[in-house]
Amino acid sequence: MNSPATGRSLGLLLCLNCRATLRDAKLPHSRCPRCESRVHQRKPHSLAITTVLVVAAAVLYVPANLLPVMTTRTFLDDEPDTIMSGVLVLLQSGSWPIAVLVFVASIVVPLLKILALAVLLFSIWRGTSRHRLQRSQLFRMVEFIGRWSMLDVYAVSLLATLVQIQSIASIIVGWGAWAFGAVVVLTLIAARTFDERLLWDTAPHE
Amino acid sequence: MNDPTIPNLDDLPAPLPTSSRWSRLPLIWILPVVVVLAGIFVVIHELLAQGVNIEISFLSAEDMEANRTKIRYKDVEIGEVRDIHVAKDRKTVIVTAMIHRDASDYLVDDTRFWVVRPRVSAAGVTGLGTLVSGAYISVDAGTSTERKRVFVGMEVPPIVTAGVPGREYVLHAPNLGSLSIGSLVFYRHITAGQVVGYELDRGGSAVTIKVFVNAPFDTFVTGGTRFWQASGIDMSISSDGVKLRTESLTSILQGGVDFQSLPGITTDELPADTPFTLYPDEDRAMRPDETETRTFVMYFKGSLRSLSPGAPVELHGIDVGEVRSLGVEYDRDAGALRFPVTVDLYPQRIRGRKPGGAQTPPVKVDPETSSRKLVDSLVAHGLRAELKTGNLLTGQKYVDLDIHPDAPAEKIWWTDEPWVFPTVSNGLDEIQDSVASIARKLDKVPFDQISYRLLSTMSSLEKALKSTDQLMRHVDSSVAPQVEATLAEAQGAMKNAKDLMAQDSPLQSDLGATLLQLSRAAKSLAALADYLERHPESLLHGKPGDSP
Amino acid sequence: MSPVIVCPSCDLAHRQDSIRTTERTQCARCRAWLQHPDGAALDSAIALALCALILLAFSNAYPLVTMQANGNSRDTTLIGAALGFYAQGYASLGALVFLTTVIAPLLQILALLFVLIPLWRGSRPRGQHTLLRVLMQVRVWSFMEVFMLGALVALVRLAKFAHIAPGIALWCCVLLMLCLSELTSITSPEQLWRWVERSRE
Repeated sequence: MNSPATGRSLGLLLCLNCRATLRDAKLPHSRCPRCESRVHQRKPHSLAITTVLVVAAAVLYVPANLLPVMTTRTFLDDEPDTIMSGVLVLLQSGSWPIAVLVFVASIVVPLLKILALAVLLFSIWRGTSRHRLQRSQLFRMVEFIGRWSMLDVYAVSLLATLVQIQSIASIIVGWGAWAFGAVVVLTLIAARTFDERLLWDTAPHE
Repeated sequence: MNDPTIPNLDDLPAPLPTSSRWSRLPLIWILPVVVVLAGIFVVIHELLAQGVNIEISFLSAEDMEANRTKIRYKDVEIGEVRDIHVAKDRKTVIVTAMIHRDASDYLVDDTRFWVVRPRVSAAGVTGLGTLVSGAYISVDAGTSTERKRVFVGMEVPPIVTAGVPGREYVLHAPNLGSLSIGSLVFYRHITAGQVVGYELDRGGSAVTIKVFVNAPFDTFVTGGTRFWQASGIDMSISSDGVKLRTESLTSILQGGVDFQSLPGITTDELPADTPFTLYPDEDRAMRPDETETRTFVMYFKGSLRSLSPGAPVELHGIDVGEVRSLGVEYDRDAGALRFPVTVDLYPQRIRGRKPGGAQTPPVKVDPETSSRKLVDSLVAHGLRAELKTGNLLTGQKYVDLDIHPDAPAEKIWWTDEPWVFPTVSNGLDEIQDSVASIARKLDKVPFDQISYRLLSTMSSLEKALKSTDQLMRHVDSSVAPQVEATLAEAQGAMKNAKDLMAQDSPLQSDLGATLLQLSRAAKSLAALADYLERHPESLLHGKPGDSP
Repeated sequence: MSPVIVCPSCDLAHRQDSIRTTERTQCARCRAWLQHPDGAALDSAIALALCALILLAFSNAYPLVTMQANGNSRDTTLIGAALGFYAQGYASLGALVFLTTVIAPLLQILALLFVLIPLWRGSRPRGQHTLLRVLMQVRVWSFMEVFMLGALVALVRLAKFAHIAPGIALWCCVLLMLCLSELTSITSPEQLWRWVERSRE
């Protein structure tokens, strides 16, 4: 069998919400008869929307890592902390597993996610059909670990709330945190708007 | 439901069963597992870094605050107070503190904890830094190997912390005097240590004082070392007079202990915790040891007022003993009260002092017998004890031993214990005795009868006076006119005499002429004498003018 | 039921020979999860959801952590963490935190209960479809486990210069996280619709 039977080739639709297999109604705005959510053959404008989101995330990734996510203000001085310096602080305090966790979640994962999405988008745009399984698995991994990046946002939120001892020490949230939060949200949305099936649609051209 | 668009179901691939056991686990569980693992790591990491919890009890939690008060060893932070609560018995406050793991070695049996806060004492101001930083708990790590987790905190900072070179010694004294913890120890008036503690002996009869002598002064503490109270102002009134001795200002305020070694006695330095006697003053401390004492009882006739235990017994001004006690006893045979004065005599002082300071060679004969013989012979020669006033100002008395050759013969009865030493009364006592005998004689005068007779004499005297009065009245009435006439006559007579004496009376003028002549004679006689004095030759040659 | 299953990841059509209820199956081409076992009982899902609801209430009612430094003591609740951002002028970040740690779990639990309790009682609930749609959307934004990890990092960093006492809410959060994970894993979309369809029969 040269080209495997897909939902599209068989005229079948999958409702992503309730996983019901539907007959292709061939309507532009059809709804799932079971859960009444909209069904599409492919996610609409997936490539364009995802590209925009990934580009925005990539742009914001720079200030997210360079700007301080928080500033520790004591009565002596202000000590700005970027994400990386926060990792170093943890490393110095001896809890290296936590430091590795933060490093992976806050620096590696967003970068990996942006790069992976960019590579996937580029490969779809180029129409390559090589390493489809690997690319698909890469996407699923990125989609799964994407939420880990929120870790640092939560850490900063707790620190900024707790360390508010007037005149002794207070932690002030920096724009880095905002940028970082934006990167995480954008990449999360990007992963949701990306239609994985596009990776496999190139198969017939092989 | 058969869909016409699907050509053949068998052409479609079947879903793959889960390949491995691990992939059966839903992916969603990965993150919670990571969280739990990370949490376990953090908890273990914290527990490992956390250190040891200890409990220290204090009387109050003054200046301490949970999670703020630090615990420091040699001013290095080694922990923090975690919790403060009142003990169940409500007597103390229990401070729970966390000590860093690397400092847990310090937590041994003799480790001490105390609160450092600003303290102002006579010795100085300490802990000023805590005014700003807040109080902290200081630790003095002990040397014991027995680990401990529950401690009793010290209310007063220890004077000497472990590691300071020096040694601790134990002093026994009847009372603490003006010493307190922190009182200084002096060696030749140089500060050499401090009093680190004291406690009442069991039974409460004495006090044990611990002193710490810093190196290198501890090498001067030898077997012959004497400690005494150098408590500030030492004013003593004894038969020697008033003695006022002061130490440094600090020791005046705080009291102090002085020590010095007896001259001549040099022994090796002593290990720590060697017990010593703490003497009340330098004199008593530096007195040589009295290894041999003879106790005698003396019965004095006079009052024992101003004689106090400790008063010296002197032989020709040389201190040979000490009054130990005074007492009262009832002598049944005599039916009278007696006042025994118990006296310690140091026979060594009498025997041992020979010119050149050489000690007596070891006595071959029984020393007891020889000393008795000595005393016997002295008593036979008239050695008597006598109460004397040592100091007229204070009236303190002492016992004087002296040879009274005239004293009635006495003997010490060695067979009767206690040995009674013969006494004589002193001069003052004799005067007192004679005054007493006069008074006794005066007592025998029958003043009652005398006064009775005096009374009757008085009444007869009154009667006599009355009759005199009557006599006078009689004189007044009958004799007076006669007297008046007599007086008038007398007046006349006197007038005559006056007339006789008047200036122009013949008697008067005659007398005047006679006197005039007499005066002229005297004048010429004076001129003659004068001339003769200047020209004595004229007696032989006559006046130069009328040469013969 | 359709005898054909289409892979949501690669659109490959599979035949569904039998209803496998004990095993998860994968797509033959892209190895994505295709079928979830039909094992969990409706009752246990409701019990878990109720449990999660109580835990969520506790998590918000009590302080998460108490920090003591230099005699000052501060604590924060789950909502307080979100308000911390808001107080410093980062309303959007505050909203993000609030949404992902409070609103999303709450909606997830409530939507589940609103759907499952009528199913359990055998009645057809109103707005079932909307609730299930909301549930599927909201579930993606429930970041309780990530929050726990973030809290852990914050605590490790704070422990350096302050004394940290974990509050009741922190332990509740851990349990809530586990509850939500289990709940998510037993209430796959497939399973939910299985329950819905069974109740219709």
